[in-house]
Amino acid sequence: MSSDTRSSSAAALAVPVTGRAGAEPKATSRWLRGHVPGEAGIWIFILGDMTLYIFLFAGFMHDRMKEVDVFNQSAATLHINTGGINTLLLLVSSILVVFGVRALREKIKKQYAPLFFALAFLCGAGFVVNKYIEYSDLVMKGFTPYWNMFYLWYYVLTGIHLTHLLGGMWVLIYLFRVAQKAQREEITIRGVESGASFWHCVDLLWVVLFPLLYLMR
Amino acid sequence: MNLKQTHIWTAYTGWIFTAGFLIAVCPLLAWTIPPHHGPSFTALQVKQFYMEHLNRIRAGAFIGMIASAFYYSWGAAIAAMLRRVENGRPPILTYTQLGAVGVGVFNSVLYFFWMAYCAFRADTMDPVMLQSLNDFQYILLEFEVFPLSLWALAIGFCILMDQSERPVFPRWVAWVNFWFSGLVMTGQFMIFFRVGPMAWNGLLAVYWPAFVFFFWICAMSTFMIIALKKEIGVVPNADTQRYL
Repeated sequence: MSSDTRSSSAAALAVPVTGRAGAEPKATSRWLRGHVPGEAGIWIFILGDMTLYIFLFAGFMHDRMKEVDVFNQSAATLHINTGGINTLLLLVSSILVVFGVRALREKIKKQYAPLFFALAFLCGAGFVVNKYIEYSDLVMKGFTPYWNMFYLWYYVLTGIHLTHLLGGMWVLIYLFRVAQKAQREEITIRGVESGASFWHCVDLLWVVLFPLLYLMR
Repeated sequence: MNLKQTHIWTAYTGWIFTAGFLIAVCPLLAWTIPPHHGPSFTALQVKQFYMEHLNRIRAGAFIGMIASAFYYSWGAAIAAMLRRVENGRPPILTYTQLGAVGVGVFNSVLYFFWMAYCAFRADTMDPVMLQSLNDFQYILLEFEVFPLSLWALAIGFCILMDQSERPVFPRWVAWVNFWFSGLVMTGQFMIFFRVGPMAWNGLLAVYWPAFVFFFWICAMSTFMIIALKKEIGVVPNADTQRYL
């Protein structure tokens, strides 16, 4: 279903709802018309990704139940503030991606779209730098993946998330280039929505990871 | 017997490989998926496992080796069906797939060969040596998935670029390939760990890649068979009378 692939808002609105000949087309939101953001396949990818994380969380909780005190003590050594800043960076980057997509739909001025994606990319880069500082600090204190089970899971979970984030940053570069191209010519919004959905998935995973690792006692 | 029927049988070899592989490695036979033991087992414990299950492991290796042969006809079928997407251009993605088919089959064959080799003289072998050979088996199984990732990437790109009226595979199947490509290699860090989810008996090294791998094979086999039955890829002016 690609009923809404054009970026112009006019195409997004005019859909006849009644079948009566000569009836005025009613303007309906694309959500009521069953719009799937991006293409169907990206949701296979995203839900498949989340399936991995469901298994990972289950594995983490299973191991945690065996030695709750060790896990709690180890979690207390993590930097909650750093984790909080990371969460903020990703949430801000997600809202910037939302603004970027809206700009490409011309709900906001289209010329701002590349800027939004560029700023989102910077937020992602900030996350990566923050993570590097955090990992370095933990490793220098001796908290390597070999220290205990909690730290093994910590590095596994955040490491896999980091690879997803790095992939997401490539996607943001793609979105930036599409946004630049959109200033000159018509583009299909499907690829943009697919990319934006993936970035939101990366954000969502961190929003679940942060309380699980840093906050849960 | 005609060519169409033969081609459909070729697509079914994916199912034969899957069934044979799973029967060979299940707890009733070789007991490697899910794994009976892990890298933290001592050499004596590994030897005890082999002594208690010697003929079952040998039977598993035997069945698995036969099943491995059915892997390359399936891979060749996918490459052949997607070949036409690159029509007019050098068939780079097709050749990538065929090369990867070779590697994938080699991995599977070597895995069952090694299983057979371990079980051949396990009763008289030194336990430490047996443990080391046993490690080889598991590291081989799970560490060598990266060639498969590139294989799936090539398939995914071919599917996405299929703009024909009757595409070989539905577009979303490309994303199943990308999912497989990205997430099958979660076990790559297994050589750094002997306990936990990253060890060669852990969640990320065995269970998740096995799930992803078999889901991928089942999805691709299903759509391969559908495409062949619908005769997608038969050129309009082909002389089908002679070969029906």
